[in-house]
Order: sequence, then structure tokens, then C-alpha cells
Amino acid sequence: MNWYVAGASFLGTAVEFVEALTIVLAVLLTKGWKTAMTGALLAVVVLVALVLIVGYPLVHAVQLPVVQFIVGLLMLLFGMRWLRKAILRYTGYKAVHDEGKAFAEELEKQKGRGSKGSGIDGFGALTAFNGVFLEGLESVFIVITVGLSAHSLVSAVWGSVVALILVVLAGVAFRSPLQAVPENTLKFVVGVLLSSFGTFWAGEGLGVAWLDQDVSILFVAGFFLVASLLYVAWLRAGRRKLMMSETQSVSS
Amino acid sequence: MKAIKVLVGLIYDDPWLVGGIVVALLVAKVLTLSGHAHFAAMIPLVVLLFGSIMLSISREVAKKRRA
Repeated sequence: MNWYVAGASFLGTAVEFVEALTIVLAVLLTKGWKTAMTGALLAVVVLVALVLIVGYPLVHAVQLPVVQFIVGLLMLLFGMRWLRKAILRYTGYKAVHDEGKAFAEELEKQKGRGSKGSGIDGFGALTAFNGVFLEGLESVFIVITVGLSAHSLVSAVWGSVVALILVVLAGVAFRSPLQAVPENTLKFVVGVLLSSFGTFWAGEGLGVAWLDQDVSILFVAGFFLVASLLYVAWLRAGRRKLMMSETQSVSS
Repeated sequence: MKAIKVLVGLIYDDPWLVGGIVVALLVAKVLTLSGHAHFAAMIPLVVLLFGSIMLSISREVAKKRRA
């Protein structure tokens, strides 16, 4: 066992796994575990098949920027839509989604059809698939390049397996406390996260050289978060002013 | 097929948001092609993307106020 190679592989792939976990957790909390697991497991199956069929040349066979751009664009489309809806709900321009009512309506619909339904949301499954597939692909690249350059592929694989186990355990531990967060807050945060990942990946695919690589995701997320909160405050103030002027005109 | 339907639905639902995303990505591509791959591409990309959300929301708000 080459401990330096295992360590390098552990650190490199742990970053990628944490990014994938963030997206899977986001889908799990908003669309349910079935949807999140379907997308994530499907991505793992496709990745394993790719590695088994193509093997080492995968590093040269796949055009990573193209995959990054497509996945980034899809994440942007879904994430920004969620963020937009959450901002509209915070400001009162859109009714807050009543999860209980929606569930009862869906149950009635399913009873009417006489079927149980799969309970899998296509949108959410695609998002989880994209996140796990892209991060998994990047992890495969890290393991192959680190392992082959030091002639110790087994050590690199072990490093990444340990990283994967630790990240999955962290995900299981964080799931319950996150489920207590109110729905619109969760969708707002998920919208910010997906938009940030989407911006980063789409930018990478287009050739943008991000400062500090993956750390830039935190800066982008911070910008989206602060800008969204300021925009919510501005919209709320505008709405309040409008309602006050309407009340004054009615009373006079 | 379903994925294409979903994407077409997205564009139909919110053309300003999708249009804003496309413009932001095009600007970033032009900047990287002209040799500005660092801050000069990063900042306009992020700002234009958030601008597209603001544009889409402001249109929705204006629609609600008119109604």
C-alpha cells in the first residue's frame, strides 16, 4: 500500500463525493428518498459500466468539458427555477406551497386511477443522476491519474473507497436534522446550491478558469444567497409600500 | 422524449429566465474565447445569471400587480 497515493486519492475524491452528496441530499429532502436514490444509483450503474467497458482509456475517451457544460446547464435550469419560486413565495407574490394539501390531492388522484404510482419525480431523479454522474466521473479520473502516475492504482482505489464510505455516513447523519427545516427555506437553499453548482460546471465547460477551483462554488453560493436575500427584502418593502398606499386610497 | 418535453415546458413557462441563462453563457463563452478566462468571465457570468432571475421575477411581480 502506498499511503501517499491513498491519501492524495482520498482527499481528491472526498471533495467530489461531498459535492455529489450535497446534490443527492438536496433532492432527497425536497423530492423524497426514492427519487434521489433512483437517480444516484442509476448514475453509479452507468459509471461502473463505463469503467468496465472502456477501462483506463476513459480519461481520454470522455470529453469532460462537454459533460460539465450539459450537466451545468441542466442544474442551472432546475436550480434557478426553484430559487425564483422560493423568492416569490418569501415575498408573498406566490402562495406558500401546502405540502399536506398537495399530498391529500395526489392521494385522491392515485385512488381515482386505482394505482399506487411510482413516487419518483423525473426532474429530481435527473438532477441526482447528473450530480452523481459528473462527480463520480471526476473521481474516476482522479483515481486513474493519481494511481497510474505513481504506479499504485490499488492504493488510489482504496483511498477513494474510504472517502466514499465516510461521505455516505456523513450524509446519513445529516439527513434527519435537515428534514426539520421549513419547506420554502429548504427549497430556497437547494435553489441556491443547484444554481451555484450549475454556474460552476457550465462555466468550467465553457473554459472559465475559476479562482481556487472547486472552492469557487462557495463564493458563487455566497453571492447568490446574499443577493437573493437582499432582493427578497427589497421586494417585500415594495409590496408593503404598495399595500399601504392602496389602504390609504380606500380610506380616503 | 420526456426530458425534451420537460425542457420545452421550462422554456415555455419562463422564457425570460431561460433567455437570460443563454445570454449569460454566451457572454462567458465570448469572453473566454477572447482570452479573458479569469475574473473578466467569472463575474459577468455570475452577475448575469442572477440578473436573469431578477428579470423573470420582476415580470411576474408586474403581472401580479396589474391583475
